[in-house]
Amino acid sequence: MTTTLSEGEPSTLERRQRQRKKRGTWQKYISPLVLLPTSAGIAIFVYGFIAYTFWVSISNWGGIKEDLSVREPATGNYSDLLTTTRFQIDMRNTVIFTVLFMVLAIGVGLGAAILLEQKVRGRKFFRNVILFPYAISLVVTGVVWRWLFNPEVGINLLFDVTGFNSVLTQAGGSELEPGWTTDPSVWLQINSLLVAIFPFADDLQVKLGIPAAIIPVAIAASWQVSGFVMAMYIGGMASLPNSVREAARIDGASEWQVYSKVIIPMLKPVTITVGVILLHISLKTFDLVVAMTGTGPGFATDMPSLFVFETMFKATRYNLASAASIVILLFASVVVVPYLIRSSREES
Amino acid sequence: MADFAKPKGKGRFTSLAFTSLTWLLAGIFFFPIFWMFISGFKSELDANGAPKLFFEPTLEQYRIVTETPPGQLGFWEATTNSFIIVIVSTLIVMMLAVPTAYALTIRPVGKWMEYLFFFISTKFLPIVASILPIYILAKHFDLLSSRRLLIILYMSMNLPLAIWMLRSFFQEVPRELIEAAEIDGANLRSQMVSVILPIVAPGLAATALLCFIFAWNEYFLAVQLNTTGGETVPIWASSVVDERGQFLAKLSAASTLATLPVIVAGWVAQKRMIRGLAMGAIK
Repeated sequence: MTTTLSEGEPSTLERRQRQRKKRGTWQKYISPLVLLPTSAGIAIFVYGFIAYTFWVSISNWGGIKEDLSVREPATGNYSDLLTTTRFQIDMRNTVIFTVLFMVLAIGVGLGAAILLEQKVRGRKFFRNVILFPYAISLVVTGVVWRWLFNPEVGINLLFDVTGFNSVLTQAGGSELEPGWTTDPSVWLQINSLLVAIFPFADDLQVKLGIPAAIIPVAIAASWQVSGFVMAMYIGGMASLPNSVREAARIDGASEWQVYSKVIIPMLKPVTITVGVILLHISLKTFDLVVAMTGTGPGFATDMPSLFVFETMFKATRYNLASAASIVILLFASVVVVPYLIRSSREES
Repeated sequence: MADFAKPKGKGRFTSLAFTSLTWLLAGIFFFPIFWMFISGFKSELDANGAPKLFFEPTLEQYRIVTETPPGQLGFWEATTNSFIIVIVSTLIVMMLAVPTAYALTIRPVGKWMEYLFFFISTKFLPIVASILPIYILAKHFDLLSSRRLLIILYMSMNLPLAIWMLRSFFQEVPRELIEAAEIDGANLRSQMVSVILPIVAPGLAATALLCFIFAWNEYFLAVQLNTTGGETVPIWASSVVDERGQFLAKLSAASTLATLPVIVAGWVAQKRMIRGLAMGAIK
C-alpha cells in the first residue's frame, strides 16, 4: 500500500493515486471489452464458416436445390473428389508450383537482400524497384507475364534478336522456341516408377511430373513476391548484431563463409516465416492463373482454387467443391497450425 | 544500415561487380512494368510487332479502354466502386484496429498474446474454405447487388493485418509517457489524442496504405461473389483481358490504369512502404 503523510488530510499525491486507482478499476475492463467482439466475430465468421463448409462437404447437396442431409457414406464426396482427374492434376500442380515458387522466391529474395547489403550506390532506389511488383495487382502481373511468355511476341524474340538462334542453327541445332505456357508436356514423369512400388498407383489418371507450362507461372509469381521476401530478410539482417560478423571475420572466415555459415543459419526464423507465408500464397493462387493462362493445356496450370470456383459457381456441385476447399484447408493447416503455435509460445 | 563491405584492397572491383549485378537484377524486375507502361502508348501495330523503343506515342488506347461498351462494366464505374469500397473499408478497419491495438499493447490483459495469434490464424487459412457460406449469407441478406458486401469482406480481410501492424507500432510508444500522462490526470481520450496518436501517426498511415493496396488489388472474392453494382477495378481489368486478349497495347493501357492508384499511394508513402510491406506479410 501507499505511504501516507498524515491520517487526517490526504496529500495531493495520495489523492491522485486514489483517483488513478479508481480509474484503474474502470479501465481494467476496457481491454477485454474491446477484444471480446472481435474475437467472437472471428470465431463465428471464420471458424463457423469453415465448420459449415465441412458439413456441406459431407452432404448430399450436389445441385441447385439445398440439401444438407449427410451423404451415405459420409466420405463419399471426398472419394469422388480424389478420383476426379482434374483434381488429381490440380494436386500435382500445387505441389510442383509450390516447390518452384518457394525455391525461386526465397533464392532471389535472399540474394537481393545480401546484394543490397553490400556497398552499392542507390541502395534505397534498388530496394524500392525490387519491392514494387509486390504492390501491384496479381491480375496485372498475369497480363504482363502472359505477354512476356507468349511464344510469338514475348521473350522468345530475344533469342532471335540476340542472334542466339542463328548461332544454334549454324551449329546444326534447331531454333530455341519454347512454347512456355502453351507447352502441354510433362517432364520427369514418375508414373511407371510409382506403379513398380505401389501397384494401386495404376489407378492414377494423372501424369506425375513437372508440367512445363507451370514454370512460367511460377516465375511470374516469384517476380511478384521476391521483393517482399527481400524486405523480410533485410529486416532480419538489420536485427543481427554486427559483432557476429566481426567475430567470424576475425576468425578468418571468407565473406562467402560469413554468409553461408553464420548469417543465413541465423536467419532461420525469418526463413520459416517466409516459407509459411509463401505456402499460404501459393495455395490460394487464383488471380494470376486466371489472368495469365487460365487452366492451361491439359489443365497444366490449373489450380485447386479454380477448381473450387468452377465446380461451385458454374457446375453448382456444392458438396464436391466444399470437399475440395477442405482439402486445401488441410494442406495449409498442416504447416500453418504448428507454426502459429510455436511462434505464439516464443512470443509469450 | 551500416556498411559491412570488407575494407580490403580488392574493394573497388567487388564493389563494381556488386553494383552491376544490382543493376541487372533491378533491370529484370523493372522491365515488365516499364514495358507495360510503354506499350500502352503504342499503336496495336507497334505493340505486336518487333519490339522497339522509339515509336509515335498515342493516347488512342487509353481512349478506347475507358469508353464504356453498352451494357458492360466501364472503367469509370469500376473505379468509382473501387474507391468507395476501398476507402470505406479501410476507414472502418482503422477505427476498429486502433482500440484493439491499444487493448493489446498499452493496457494488455494476461494471455491476450494467444488471442492475437487467434486473430492472425484467420489470415493464414485459405478464404476458399469459407466462400460458400459467405455467398449464402450474402444472398440471404440481399447484399450481392451492392458495394456493401465487398466493404464488409475487405474490412474483415484487412482487420487482423491492421491489428498486427498497429500493435507493433503501439509497442514503440514509451511507457513513461503514458504513465506521466496518467499521473497528470489525463483521461483515456486525451491520453489517446495528445500522447499516443501523434507518436503512432506514421504507423497509422502505413497501415492504412497497406489496407488500401490489398483491398484495391483483391480479386478472388470480388469475382467469386460476382456482385452486380459493386464490380471493382481488377474485375474490369480481367474483363478487358477476356475481350481484348490479343490486343497488347489496350491491355497495357488498362493494366497501367489499374495500377495507377497503387503507384501514387506508394510514391507518397515510400518511406514507410518497406516496413509496412514486410509486416503486411500475411496478405
